[in-house]
Amino acid sequence: MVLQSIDNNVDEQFSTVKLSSGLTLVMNPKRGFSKTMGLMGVKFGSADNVLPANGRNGPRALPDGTAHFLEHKLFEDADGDVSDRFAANGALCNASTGFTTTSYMFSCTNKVADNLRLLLSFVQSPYFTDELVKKEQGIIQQEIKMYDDDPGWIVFFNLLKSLYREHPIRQNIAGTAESIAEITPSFLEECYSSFYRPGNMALVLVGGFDPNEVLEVASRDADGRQADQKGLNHRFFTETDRSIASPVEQAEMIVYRPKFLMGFKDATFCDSGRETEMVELRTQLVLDCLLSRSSPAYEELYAEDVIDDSFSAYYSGYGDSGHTIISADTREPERLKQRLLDILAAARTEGIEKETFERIRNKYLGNYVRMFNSIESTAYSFLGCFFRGLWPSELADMIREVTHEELIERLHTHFDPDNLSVSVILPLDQPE
Amino acid sequence: MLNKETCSFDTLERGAEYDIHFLHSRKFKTVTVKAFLMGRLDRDVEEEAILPFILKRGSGKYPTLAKISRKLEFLYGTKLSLDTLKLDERQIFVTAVDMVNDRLVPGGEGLLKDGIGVLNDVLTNPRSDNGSFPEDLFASEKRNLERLIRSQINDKGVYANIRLVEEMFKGEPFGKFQWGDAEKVALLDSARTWSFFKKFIAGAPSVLYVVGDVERDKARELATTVFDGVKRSVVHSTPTEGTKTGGNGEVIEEEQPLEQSKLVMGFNVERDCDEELYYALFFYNSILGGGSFSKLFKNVREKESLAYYAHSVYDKVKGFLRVGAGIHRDNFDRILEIVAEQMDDIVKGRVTDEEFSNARKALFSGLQGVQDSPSQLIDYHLVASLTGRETGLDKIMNKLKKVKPEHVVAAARLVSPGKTFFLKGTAG
Repeated sequence: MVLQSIDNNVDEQFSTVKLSSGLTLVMNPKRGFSKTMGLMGVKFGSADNVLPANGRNGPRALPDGTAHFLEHKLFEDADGDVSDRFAANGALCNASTGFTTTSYMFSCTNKVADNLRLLLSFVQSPYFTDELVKKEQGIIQQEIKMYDDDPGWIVFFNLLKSLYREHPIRQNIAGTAESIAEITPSFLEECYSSFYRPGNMALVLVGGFDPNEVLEVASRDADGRQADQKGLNHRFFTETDRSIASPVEQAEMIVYRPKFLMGFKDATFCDSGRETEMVELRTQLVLDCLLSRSSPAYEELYAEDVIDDSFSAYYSGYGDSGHTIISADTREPERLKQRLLDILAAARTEGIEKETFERIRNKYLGNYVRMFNSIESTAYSFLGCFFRGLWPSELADMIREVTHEELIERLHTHFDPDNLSVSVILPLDQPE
Repeated sequence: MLNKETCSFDTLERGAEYDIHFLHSRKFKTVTVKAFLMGRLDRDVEEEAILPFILKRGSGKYPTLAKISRKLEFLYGTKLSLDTLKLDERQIFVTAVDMVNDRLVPGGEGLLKDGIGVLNDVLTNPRSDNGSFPEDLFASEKRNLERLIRSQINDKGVYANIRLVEEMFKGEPFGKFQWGDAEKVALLDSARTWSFFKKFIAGAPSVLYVVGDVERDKARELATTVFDGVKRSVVHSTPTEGTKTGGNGEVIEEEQPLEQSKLVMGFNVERDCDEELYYALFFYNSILGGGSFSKLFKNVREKESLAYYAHSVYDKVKGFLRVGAGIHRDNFDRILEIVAEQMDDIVKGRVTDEEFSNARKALFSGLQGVQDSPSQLIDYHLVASLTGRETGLDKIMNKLKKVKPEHVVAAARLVSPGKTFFLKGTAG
């Protein structure tokens, strides 16, 4: 096996191998580290809410929360809870479901090979029964209720609902008490066989492990599985209309001050993962140049007492869709919205100084190096590379390749006031 | 096999002005310098609490937030942090600078010197106006601190924990929130806070840490730069101990229109005990609610599907254990019953070999994992040193190896009921 250098500036090596089953293995062995993280990801998330056609049926809608439910259920098989087997090895395990991906992880300080076998086996051996599905409904209902009480969560999904008309990222990742009640073992089985295919998945290891041992364990596992080199390329996202669904969404909850989220819906359609990554990078750079703590705008808004430390601005891209979200706790949501629009309008006239761009890019390069301090950040970043069809070694180059002109172009095309929605949570008046 | 480093701190200085601990490691891409300035909870805490807010706004060399931020960006995204912690009877002012190692970035020469220079200027040379913090700046940060305190209600889990501690340690220093009381913040005076700051920066007992791939002499130089320009004259004093009454199982209830109720149960833990029992308490917490193999997770979540989370957290410095779960209000009595049964099981020695060995493995992995993060290494060392017990990870692991199941059973008797706070959700 050949390890290659990730970047000339950081002393790190990686290897990417396509195994016989079609599963992609990415390794970043690190000298001196105690921990190893194993992360297995599949291109299937809450937004994949349509079951592809198979021999018997045409495409069918999935109940909201199916991907998340499936994630919970993989942790149990005929022998009980998989977490117990990790715990017996002194390992921690966890999983998470996003809009477009689901990931499963363990972290441990020894018995890497045993833990890896366990991860490969539980993610690839579904076991669903009526009884276990029923039990999980109770647990997930409490999870949903926890999110229902979280103003940060509610203000976010309210924004997505006003930005998007039909796109499935409008729906809560965990679904609703009603939608998860519709989930049955046979639904889960069909979902599993459609999406959890080796070609649609990657396995990332980062930390203090022996790469030869890991390659051997993963290869042996792959040799025993049915090969699927292709994976799934087709997704059923639907949002042909690039305009927003509604300009304002408002709710009341127990918060001390209003929570404000302003979103710009992207009109760009990226046809490759690399393009999505580039658009995300450029947009984030624009946002940092214009609105991060070093910007004159931040200083003004802070002095006017419409923002404080809670202020942030970030972009998320999904290829077929994407949005910028500017977020703050503020006593004056309406004024903040107006001020931000003014600031963005002025920036379109004045542009972005080259020096500012270069300074912020320096920060990105530093953060890239810093990422390798954290096994977790590195593993998730490399899994993200797989999902976008990138090599881990491309990340730093992309930061170096971004140009000032591209930022200016992005500034002019993305922040269209007609594609803007605002979501606000106002404090609920409570009887004393 | 790749070699695994065992990390341990080297004490470069234990002096009148401050202690310096240094850990050399090649595996980190960064150099971290962190300073802890020890304050006290047995006085008004608001003056110390507002310092991070004020200091981050500007210093002599970098008079605005924008100027500090630009300098940090230029230094390859150097991270400067200012914070307040509460540990035992202490309110601790924490500041740190985390810099990419200058060898890993083009043109990185001088990065470390400049980075530590920013921290030094922010800490020791704040903006001032005739023996006071500038009035407008002070007024604006008073507002921000007050909002931070009042906004704790936004996160129901956090809010319930704060309310539990407030109720359980009412009238004691530990009952205070680390950021203080919003009404008292409103009364803060700029000139008085300035004179508190001057005394605090010169007199607070302080511990400095350096972690990264730098030479010993360089580490010492970085650490001594933190207080450069301040004439240190440390005032050593022991903060008042709480009375440890801590309640007797009373339940305090509060209603909010929420879908989910938050239950938090506080317990007093006798921490002045024999070494075996002290380390056995780590096992006790792990077995009770420290992970997916724990008694609480198994019984509350997996067996009865009553909660998404059910766990316990042990504060070894204070001797305080907290059990938490997000539940439906109708299941309140049932959860209390399960928690009592599970705790009683440990007292009666009903701990399986599997539970014991899982706890042991989890504790070991946790400690080994600490070695992979500069900030965890530093924080773990600081917390351990405040307990007055072992600070070396290897030594702590050796102590843990000696713990036997019978020690855990004996340690269970050191845990007694405090108070319970129930944030009752009336909407779901």
